[in-house]
Amino acid sequence: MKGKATLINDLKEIVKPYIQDQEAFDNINEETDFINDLKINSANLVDIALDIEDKYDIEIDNDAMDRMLNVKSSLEVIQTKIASK
Amino acid sequence: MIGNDIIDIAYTRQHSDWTRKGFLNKVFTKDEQSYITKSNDPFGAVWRLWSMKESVYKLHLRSTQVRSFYPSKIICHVLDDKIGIVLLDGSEYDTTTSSFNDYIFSFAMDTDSTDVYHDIIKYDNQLHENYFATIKNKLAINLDCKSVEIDIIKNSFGIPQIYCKDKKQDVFISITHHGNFLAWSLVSTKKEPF
Repeated sequence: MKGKATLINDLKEIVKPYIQDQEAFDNINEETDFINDLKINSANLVDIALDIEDKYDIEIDNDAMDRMLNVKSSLEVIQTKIASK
Repeated sequence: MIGNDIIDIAYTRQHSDWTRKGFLNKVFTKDEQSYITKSNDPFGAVWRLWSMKESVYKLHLRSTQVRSFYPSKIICHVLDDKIGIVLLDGSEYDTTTSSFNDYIFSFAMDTDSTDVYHDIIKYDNQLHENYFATIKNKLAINLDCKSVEIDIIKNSFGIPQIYCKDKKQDVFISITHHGNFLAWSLVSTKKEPF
């Protein structure tokens, strides 16, 4: 099982190509919001979900994707999905 | 309530790949996917439907105040090249879409007003303040208020609200920015037209 620090680091790499606010990205933490803080286009939230699926070989159903608006809930989704693999 | 969404075509071609495996399933219903694959212009169909969904989501967010990211729950029916019907959480909304070579713009409204004003402009980051000055000048005429007395303040859901002398006004504004385009829509519930 991966630790939270590793997961945050992985997530940071995944969202990096889509961010439009470098300062918010440099200060990324659990409370960081993908749209409000990182200014990610909503269409790219789909790419993030797909990138996470590829990275961890998990499936993110649409209910799970609905929760992935910020770092904290995304980490929860990833942890839950990895645990139930 | 109102909601709008603009899509910069060139920016989208560069930054989004709708043909990516899994993308359509995460965003569209089976019927919408069938509409896309049968279309002569699948790219245009994908982003037209996306802008319909996004404009209705923004409208819906104003009343529910619950953020969400569940595009396949926002169900689109295309009536013609402009008009669409969108279903979300048991409500039905009408959308109007304008498709051009360089952008797609959709607008949704459920407010009983014929007084709607749109402005679509090429966006330059350096001129950000100028755009807001233009919007305030436009509002000043309608609200009988000086433009310096007008504030456009986003609430915690990112929805802009219009204030004049610190008093919230009965005018809806929706602002959308994507790539090199910015669009703003105003709807007044007052009698005077914009």
